[in-house]
Amino acid sequence: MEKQTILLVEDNPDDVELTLRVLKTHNLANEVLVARDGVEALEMLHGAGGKPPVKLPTVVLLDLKLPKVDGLEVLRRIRAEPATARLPVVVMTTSREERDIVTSYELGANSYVQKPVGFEAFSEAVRFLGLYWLLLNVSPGQ
Amino acid sequence: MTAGRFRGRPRLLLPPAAMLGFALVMAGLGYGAYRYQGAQAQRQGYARLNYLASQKAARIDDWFQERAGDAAVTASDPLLLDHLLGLGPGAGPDPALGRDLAQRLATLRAAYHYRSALLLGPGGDLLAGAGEAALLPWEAGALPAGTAPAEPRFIWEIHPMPGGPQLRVSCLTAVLAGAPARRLGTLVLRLDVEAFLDRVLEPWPGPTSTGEMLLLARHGDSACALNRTRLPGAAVLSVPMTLTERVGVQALLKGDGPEQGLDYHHAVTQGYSRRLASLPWVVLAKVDREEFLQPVRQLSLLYSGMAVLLAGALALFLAAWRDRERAREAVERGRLEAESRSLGSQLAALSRYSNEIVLVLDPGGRVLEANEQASAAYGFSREQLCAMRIQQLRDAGAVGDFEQQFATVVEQGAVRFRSVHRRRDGSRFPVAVSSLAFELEGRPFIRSIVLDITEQAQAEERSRQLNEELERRVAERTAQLETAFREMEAFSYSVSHDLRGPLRGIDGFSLALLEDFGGQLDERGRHYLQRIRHGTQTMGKIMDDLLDLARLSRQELVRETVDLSGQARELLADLAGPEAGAVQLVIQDGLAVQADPRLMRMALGQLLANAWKFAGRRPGARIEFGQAVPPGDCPVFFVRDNGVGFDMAYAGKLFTAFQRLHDIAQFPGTGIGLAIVQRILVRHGGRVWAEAELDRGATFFFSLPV
Repeated sequence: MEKQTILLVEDNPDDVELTLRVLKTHNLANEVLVARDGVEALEMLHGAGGKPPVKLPTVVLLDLKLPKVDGLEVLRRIRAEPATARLPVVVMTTSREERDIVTSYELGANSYVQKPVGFEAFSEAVRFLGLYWLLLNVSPGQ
Repeated sequence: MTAGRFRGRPRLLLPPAAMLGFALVMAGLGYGAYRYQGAQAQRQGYARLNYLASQKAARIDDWFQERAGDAAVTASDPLLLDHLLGLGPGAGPDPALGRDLAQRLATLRAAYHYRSALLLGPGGDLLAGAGEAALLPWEAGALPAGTAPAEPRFIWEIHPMPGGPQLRVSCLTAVLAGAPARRLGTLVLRLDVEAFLDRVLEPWPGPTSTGEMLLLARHGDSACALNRTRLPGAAVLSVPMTLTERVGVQALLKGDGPEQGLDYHHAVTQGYSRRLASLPWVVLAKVDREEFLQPVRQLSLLYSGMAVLLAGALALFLAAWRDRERAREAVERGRLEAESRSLGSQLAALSRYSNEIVLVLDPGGRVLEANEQASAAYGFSREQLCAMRIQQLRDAGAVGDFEQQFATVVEQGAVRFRSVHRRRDGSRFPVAVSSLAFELEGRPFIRSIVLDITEQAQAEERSRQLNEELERRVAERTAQLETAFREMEAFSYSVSHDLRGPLRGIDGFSLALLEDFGGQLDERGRHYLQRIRHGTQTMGKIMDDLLDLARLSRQELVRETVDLSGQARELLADLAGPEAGAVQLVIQDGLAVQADPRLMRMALGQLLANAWKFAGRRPGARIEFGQAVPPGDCPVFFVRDNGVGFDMAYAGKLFTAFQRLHDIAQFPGTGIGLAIVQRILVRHGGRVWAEAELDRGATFFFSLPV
């Protein structure tokens, strides 16, 4: 099995740690890259200042509420760049605002997942996402 | 009324015109008649003269014939012949025969009233005679004896007697004997004109002043009147034939016809001449033109008189007509004036006590009349106002084109507009003007009713200000509300993001603690961690409900047909889960409303969930959804359960957020559900209410407008 990577774009360290814990518990990812804000995520995906982009992850788990460049903008730029236009992006956010959901899908999000408050449900959601995107889904690039 | 007067004008002129026409026709007819009658009178005059002349001529002819007969008989008398035959050459007259002859001639003279009866011998010598014996020389030689032919046998001649004014007519008759006949002598019978002709000619039938009958004969180059004329001196009238202007000369030249010329008085004369049958004499009946034309003149006088009378009558008639018309007009005018006066006084009275300003203007804008209110309003006396133009009462800054407004009222008859007028003291006041054009005695005027609308304008201004204030406040409030909304949205967003994150962390790390280090904690420690996790999850649920409630207020309503029965069925199926059948569900079919389907689902879901919560676990639980009867103005639906119910004393708190009527441990909930239901129905224009009894179940009703 080819090495699977996940790019987690999340500024909340609690969420980062809990997400990593779930992924690790269920042994879903070989490697998880973490970007703490939108700028960092875009630099990793598209490269910046002579630094080449990282190897494209299998899926991007993208929070919407991010410092510097917010998640929706990150999504827009991912879709605008040919290299990442087809990259699977799952929006994972605490927002239940409808406009966020609609905008996300309009910008080409592959999924939209609301992070529940209860950790068990959250854990379940992450596990399911990891299973789906890393094990079941066949990405166009593969 | 005015139109009627105009219409009446031709009627007014008709009778005089007809009268004039009639008079003209009559004059024409009269003139024609006059001409005709005049000609007729002339004809009649001539006919009368002709008749007279013919009659006289006939009588004279007869008389002469008689005399000629007498003369012929006498000339054939053997006595005469014997006597004349006895006069042979050398033989003397037989005295006895001479006596007999004289006797015979005397008898003849006496029998026929001759002046003379003479027998002339062959030499023209007087052989015998009776009466005037003087023989005139022309008589002696007129019919010379012995010579043939026998004609003429008679010679008639009129002549004066020498030495006197008497006129005589001599009839010379040849005494014939033998065959062929030869003249032996001449019988001269001499008549007195005065005794005979004048008697025949003179009488003029009927009255006349100038009528005269003349017997005319030509004597050589002269025309002679044989009878006595009215010429003074009774001289024989004789004029040269060259004087053709003389009527007598004309009669002799032409004869037998109407004549016109001068008579011996040098008066113009009309006459008619008739030749005698037996003699070359002419009878002329004549009258002076004056008299001849008398009938025509009378006729003309008559017609002139009639014309004058007619003209007079016409003039009188016209005068009378004019007077009548004038009188009629005067009456009419008087009536109109009276009407106008009464109307005017009415108007004046109306205007004077009117609360509005009333102005009467001429089309140039000059003030002709102003009422008391006008004086009071403008501060000018009526006299001052009447010396002004309306333009002077208008404020110079008043909006609206004055000329155009004025033209409009003149053209269209009426106009309403607003303006600003000025008082004497220079202060201004807004007015509403209603102008009306009217006509009086054919002249156009404008009556303007001016209403001071200061109070109205102030009220309008106040109203406008209030409106503005209101709008300003609304805008302010709207802005505030918008701000509040934005803040609430930001708050909601913040709650959903920022508060939920830490909560999830608390819960997540609590769980991690339990999982990773659960063994190192005792039962109490693990219990506390469970309590922490329970608290965070409840808080998450409350935040979700609060966000729903907040979102309801700003969410747009999408109305469409909502199948409530279907929704209720689905929702109850979800609530029941796999263990369906424990609760009796009664759902009325075919219930539908016009509403937002998502919100209705949320409201209905809350109500059904409540019912399930309070009834579901009880034995014989029953949940009912249906439509209440009677339906009323708008449909009323209900959700009924036979659960724990509640005390109606607390019904008022039911729909307030975070108000709970039940023990949270027994019936968990956030206390926000019914608040959400109420919010949804209120947003639809409907309402929700409940009826319940403790332990006997509860019924929640909701109504939606159609």
